[in-house]
Order: sequence, then structure tokens, then C-alpha cells
Amino acid sequence: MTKYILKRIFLMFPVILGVSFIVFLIMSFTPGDPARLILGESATFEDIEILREEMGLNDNFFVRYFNYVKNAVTNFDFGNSYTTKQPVTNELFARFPSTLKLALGSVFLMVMIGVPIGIISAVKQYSLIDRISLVGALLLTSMPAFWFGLMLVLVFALRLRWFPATGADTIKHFILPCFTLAAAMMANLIRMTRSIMLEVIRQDYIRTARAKGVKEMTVIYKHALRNALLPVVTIIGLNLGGLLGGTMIIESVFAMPGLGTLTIESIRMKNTPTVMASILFVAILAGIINLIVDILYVYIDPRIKSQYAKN
Amino acid sequence: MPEKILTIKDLYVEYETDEATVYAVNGLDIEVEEGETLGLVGETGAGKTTAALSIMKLLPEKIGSIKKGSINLDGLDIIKAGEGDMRSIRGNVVSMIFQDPMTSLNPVLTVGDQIYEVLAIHKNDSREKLNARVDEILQLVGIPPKRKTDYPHQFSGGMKQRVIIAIALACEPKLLLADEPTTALDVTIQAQVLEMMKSLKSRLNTAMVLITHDMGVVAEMCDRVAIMYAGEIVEIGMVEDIFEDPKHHPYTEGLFGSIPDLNKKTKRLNPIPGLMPDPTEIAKGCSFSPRCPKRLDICSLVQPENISFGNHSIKCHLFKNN
Amino acid sequence: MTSVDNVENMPIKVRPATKKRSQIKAIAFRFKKNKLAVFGLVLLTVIFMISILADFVVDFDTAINQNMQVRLQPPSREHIFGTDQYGRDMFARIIHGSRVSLFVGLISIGISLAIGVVIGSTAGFYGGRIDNVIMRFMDVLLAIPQTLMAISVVAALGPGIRNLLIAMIVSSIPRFSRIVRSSILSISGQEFVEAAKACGTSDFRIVARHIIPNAIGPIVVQATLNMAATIIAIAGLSFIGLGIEPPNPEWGSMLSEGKAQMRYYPHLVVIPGIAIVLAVMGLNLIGDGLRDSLDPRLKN
Repeated sequence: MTKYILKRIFLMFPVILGVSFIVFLIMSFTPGDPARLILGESATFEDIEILREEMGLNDNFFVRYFNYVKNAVTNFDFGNSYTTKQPVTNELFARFPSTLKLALGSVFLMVMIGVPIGIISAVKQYSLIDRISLVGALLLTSMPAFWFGLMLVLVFALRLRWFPATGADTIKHFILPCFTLAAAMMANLIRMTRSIMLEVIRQDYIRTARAKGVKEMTVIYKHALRNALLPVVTIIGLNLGGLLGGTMIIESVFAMPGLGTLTIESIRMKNTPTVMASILFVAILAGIINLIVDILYVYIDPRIKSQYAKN
Repeated sequence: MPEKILTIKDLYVEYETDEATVYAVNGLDIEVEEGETLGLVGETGAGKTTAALSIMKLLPEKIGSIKKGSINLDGLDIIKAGEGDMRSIRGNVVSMIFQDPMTSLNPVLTVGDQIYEVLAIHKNDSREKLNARVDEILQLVGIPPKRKTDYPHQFSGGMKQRVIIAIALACEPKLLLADEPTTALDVTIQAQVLEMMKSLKSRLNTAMVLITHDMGVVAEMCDRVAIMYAGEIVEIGMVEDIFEDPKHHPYTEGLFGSIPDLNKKTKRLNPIPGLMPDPTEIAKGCSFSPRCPKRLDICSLVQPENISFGNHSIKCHLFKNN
Repeated sequence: MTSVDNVENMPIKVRPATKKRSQIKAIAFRFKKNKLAVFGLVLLTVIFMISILADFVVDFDTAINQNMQVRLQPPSREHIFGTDQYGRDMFARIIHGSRVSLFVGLISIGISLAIGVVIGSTAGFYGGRIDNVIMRFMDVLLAIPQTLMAISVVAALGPGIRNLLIAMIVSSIPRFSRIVRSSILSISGQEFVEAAKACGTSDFRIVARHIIPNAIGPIVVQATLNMAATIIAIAGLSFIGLGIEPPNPEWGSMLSEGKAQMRYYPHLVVIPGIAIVLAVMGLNLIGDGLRDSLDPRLKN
């Protein structure tokens, strides 16, 4: 089994490399001269040229890419921010915790609320709860998460004053943002959990369980749920990447000091190294999360587990 | 005089869907004695599985319902029984095994777990005793007990069916409903599984209703045979009567006639012409009459009665005056 | 953030090509029976009509002319949806804003679908090395979350409608390629294709009469649902300032502009949001309806 895990980890590196290449390629289309940006409008032509040489901006694309990767991998150096002149990694690590908390909190809420609703919807198909949750899910997928966030802020922060509208200092600050992000992703999870559960309940082995005299509750929780869990975990895993992307926009709704707002500010200020590094960081994080989900899957599905146990 | 384990009288079962109502069982009468094997033979759609599910009260919830009649299982009135009572007899007094072994076992639970479960629900013994019983059962069905920690996908089709039989017989039920238990298996495995079922059955003195469309299986396993058509029994008798007596319901003749004979050289097969009647319509008169080569005028007008010749009964106008 | 990637595992309903016309009729019939789907279709058609006829409903100038004397007015008879903080008529802005969302959405989906079909069918049809190379490349692209991809394209190129279009196209191509490829692979693998080959049918005929008609279904469903996600993405990018530039009206940028005044003038934020919800919901309902009509077995 460790062989499988190692293999998956190995496979991740070319993907990360590929991702870094794509992001670097996209960012290389940025118009404007970074050296001029750093030195300001009043810089002389010569000063700019000197800085360009220093920064290696006159090298061709592949040389620049190679150097970038080399610095990143050997020295953990992703360049310096054009604006603060400090290593980009400092900014990244300062901003990362908020984003992480937002992401984790959202996943937690999404799973804790979404999966049970999906299951209940399936078990009590066509009931009132089912209809309400389907309509709710439809509405949630049809609205932009950030608008939902704005509405929540309007009602709960500005009018009712139960929660703060911006910032990321206390847990209270995270409730509305996490709920917003969770709600956006929950809709899909509810629908998929419901349809997976419905399918599982129709399986023959459920009929066998009932024919044994198993209590209906037990049929649902022990027999049906465990089989439904596998595809549900896959769905959650597939959505995690999108969740990370979503944190970017939600952070700006709630003015949270995280990677998302860092990226947006840096884009505005044409601070390419920071933009590049933070996009790369999030993309790599998404890759790692997918890997973890893959590995988790091996532990949950006995069919795959036994395949590797015997080998 | 052996006790009657199962008595079904005048059973009517319907399925109601958005599009139509299906009259699956129409006036079914059956009795099964302790320890005997009753074969239930008929084409697909005859209502055999529905009848079995009705005994277990496992009809699909909102769609299937028992409209009329009575089912008496070991003294319990099934129709009146509540879900709690039913749960205590399922797997315990009466068990059912289904057609497809590949999908009838839960893939994420070990085989031992699934056998243990049925024991734990119905018996109050200690964990050690129950575990010992699991081992015992596995051995009885010909599976080494050390395999109880394996998962269903690690077994072949025939072995999976053995596990299912183990689960069904673990609590030594009085009646086993077997719905085409060997249809999905290879012919050679089929023989093994049937042999095993036969010996277990006699050992535990379990009565069995064996649903099948295979006359060979009937000859091998059954004491009595009932032929079912369009939701009712059209002929019933001891297995010797069915195979040797010249008197038969025209449908039964058709069934026998459609079995290819290795000794005869023929160019074409002899299916029974026509199709089973549309189950969404109630027939007037005999339900087989449209396809019957021997039909009389009266057949399409009046329902035939059951005419008995000792243990052998036939529901047909043809035999009325004999 | 809307995830539309379950269509890959959708069973392909297969019928011989000769029954195609009655197939389409059957699908249309089932669609019509689905009230929600029809509602979605109506909704979307209305919104489309409004955006096409925008200039006839209200002037573009009304949407961008500032008039500080009437700023921040709640909905009234002169200004059906009120005015924003620059005194611009919200109704006009909503109407004209629909154009951006719908047209950028439509064009980007159209182009990325076309490109995706070319890439996906090449990979699916030829298989082997070509397939491997293409799909590895797509996997790398897919490893980057869609929102992030769009943000990085706009980050590099700058805001504006042209770059927004490019960003949306680039971020949608990998997904479409994957869907097209898996549709084609699963159909090509089915026995009726083998049977057609055994009858001596030419490759071209097989593709044209057997593969494409069966593949279209899931692809159309995916395209519809993706367009819904694209409209949300466009609004999101504009919201953070990376999409449509002022003074052009766009629902997402209206939200970011209105955010500051939201507390006392909620109409600035509620109304554009509802517009987005209606458009996206229409598309989602149509997409779901199509999916159910194509294979009714999936429903229950």
C-alpha cells in the first residue's frame, strides 16, 4: 500500500511542474516593464537597463522559467515583491492562515450540513424536506457566492449586528464567510449525495438486509450509508479545488487578510512575483488536497484496500 | 400428519404506478407443509416473485400492496402483522434468497459480519457463541471459516450464493423462499449448490418454496410442484403427477413441449405461441385462453374452477366432467 | 464554483441512428413535460430578448450618464429600480448589463466548446500516444482551479471585455475537452459501433451517423450548465475589479460599486443579484431538464 501512496506522490511532481509552467507562461503575457515599475517613472533608461540585467529580464522565456524553478526549489525563493521589496514568501505565509481557516471552516460546514440533508432527502424522497432541499439547492447554485455573502452581511452584520462584517480576528469573524462559501458548494453536494443515496437504496443488498429483519435505521446507516460514502467522498474531493478558488472572491467580500485579497491587491499594483507565487501556491495546494483525497479513498474502499493488501 | 407451515388463500396483489396498475397476483392459493419443497414454476412475469415478497411483506413500499386474501405463516397472520412482528420473523422464521448472488451481498461488509448480523438480531446468545455459530454455518455450506473476514468481491459467484444461503439458514428458519437461486450460476456450480441446499434442507427440516422456470431443477429438488400463470396457480400436484400423469393444464403441456429434446431431431423450437397477458388488464374468463390450443367457447367467458384428482389439481374447463 | 463534472459519468443513452428523428421528438416531449425545465427556458428566452432589444427598451446613455442630483434613490416610478451612487438609472444598467453576461457567456462557451470538441475528439478517436499526451496536458490545466485560472489570465492581460473573454475561454477548454473525449470513448467502445464496423461501415459514416448523435446529448447538457457557471464567474471577476471596466454596466461590478452603500440602500445590491440569479437559474433549469429528458432513468 505504501507503494501506491509513494507512486501517487511521485506522479504529483510532474503535475506541479506543469502547473508552474502554465502559470509562468500566462503571467509572462503581462504587459509593461517590471523594472520600470520598481524604479518608478523618473528612472533613467540606463538604470532601468541595469535593473533588467540584474533581474534577468532580458533572458529568453525558458531561461527565466528555469531560473525561477531553480530558485524556488533550491532556496525557496520566489522572488521579491515589487512593492515591498521583501521576499514574496514572507507575505504568503503571513496571509495564508486566514485563507486556511476559511477553507477548513467552509469544508467542515459544507460536509456537516450538506451530507445529512442529502441523505434525509433521499430516504424521505418526495417529502416536504426533500422538496425544500431541492429548491434550496437550486437557488444556491444559481446565485453567486459573493452575492449570497453580501446578503448575509446585509442582514446579519449590518442590520441585526450579530456578526462582524469584515476582518478575520476572531471565530465570529469567520462564521459568515465560512457559511457563505459552504452554502455555495453545499448545493451541489446535497444534490449528488441525494442521488447517490437513492441509487444505493435501490441495490439488491439492501433488499437482502431487509429480508434478514434488519431495522430500517440500521439499513440506512450501516448498509446504505457506508456504500454511499465512497462516491460522496469523491465528490467532496473534486470540489475542494473549486473551494480554494472560491476563497479568493469571498475574502474580498469580507475584507479578510488572506491569499485571495493579497492576489487581488497585487494584481492591481502589477506586483507580478506576488501574484505568480500566490496563484502557484493555491494551485499546488489544490493538487496536494486531491492527493490526500485519493489516498483516503484507498482506506475507505475495502475493494481497493484488499487489492493492495494482498500485493 | 405434518403441520402446514404456510397457507395462502385467495391472494390478490397489485402494483400501482403513475402510468398503470399492474395486477400481479390474482387469486393465489398455496399450502406448504413442514419440511416439504414446493416448486413454483412459471414464465417471467407470472407473479412468482411478487408472491414471495408478499409473504415477507417486502413489496416496494408505496407501489405494491396486498389487496385481498390471507397469508398464514406458522400461525402468524401476515396481512395483519405489524412491521415490528415482520422484522422479528424475517431471517428467523422465514428467509428469502434472491436471484443474483453478485449484487445481493453488501460490498463493504465482511462475509462473516453479514452472517453474524442475522444471528445477532434474532438470537440472544453471547458473542462467542454467535461467532462459533458463524463458523459452523460456513462449514455447512462448504466455505472454510477462516474466510469470514473476506469481502464479497473476493468470492466467486457460486460461493457468494453459498454465503447467501448461509445467511438465510443461520437462524434455522421454518420456511425458505428461494427465488431462482441458481439461475445466475454456471450449470456445474448450479448442481453443487442445489446438492448442498438439498442436504441442508433435510438436515434442518426446512420447508422451501423454490421459484424456478427450469423443469430440471424441479425434478431434482421438489416434492410438490405448482404451475403459475398470470398471477394464479393453474395446476398443482406431486412431482410425480406433474412429470408422469398424462392429464395436464394446456399451459403445462406447452411448458414441457417447449423444452428441446436431445433425442429428437427438430428444425424449430416449440415455444408457446403468443405472450403472457398484459398485467394491467384483468382477464375475463381463463387467462390462458387466448393462447390455448385446446380452448373452448366457455373458456373466454367463465373463470375455470380447480378440479382435483387426489393430490393433483388442474384449473381448467377441459377436465370439468371427468 | 459550481461543479458541473458529474456529466462525465452519465450513461450514454444509445439508439441506432435511423431512429434519430423520433429520438429528438421523444426528448423534446419529455422536456416539455418537465415544468421546471420549461420555466427555465421561458425565463432565459425573456432575458435573452431583453438583452438583444436592450437599446429599444432604454438608451445606453441612460445607463451611464451620471446625475448627482438624483443619486441613491430607492425604486420609484421614474426609476423602476432606483438610482445608484452616481445617479445612474439602475433599470437601464440592469438591462444593458445583461448583454455583457449573456454575450460573453455565450461566445466564450461557444468557442471553448468548439475548441474542446476538436481536442477531445482527436484524443478520443485516435487514442494511443496522441490521447495520452493531450490528456496529460489537460490534466495539468485541470489541476488549476477554474476560478484561479481565469483570475491569472486577467491578472496578466488586464481587465476589459476582450481579456475577460479570453480568460473564460481558456479556463473552460480543459473541461470540455475531457467531457467530449470521454463521451466519444464510451460510445466508441459500445458494441453497436463494433457491429457497424463489422458491417463494413466507413469510419466517417460511423462518426457522423453513430458517434456524434449519441455524444451530443451530454455535451449540450454540460455546455448549458457551464454557461451558467461562466455567468457567475464573469460577475465574480467584475466584482473584484478584474472584469468589465467602468462605466460599462455589468451586474457583478454593480455589486462591487453598491457594496459600500449597501447598508442604507440595499436595492443597489439586491437587484443586480436577483438579475444574476434569474439568468443562471434559467440556464440551470434548462441544463437539468435536458439531462433528465435525455435519460429519464437517471431521474428516479
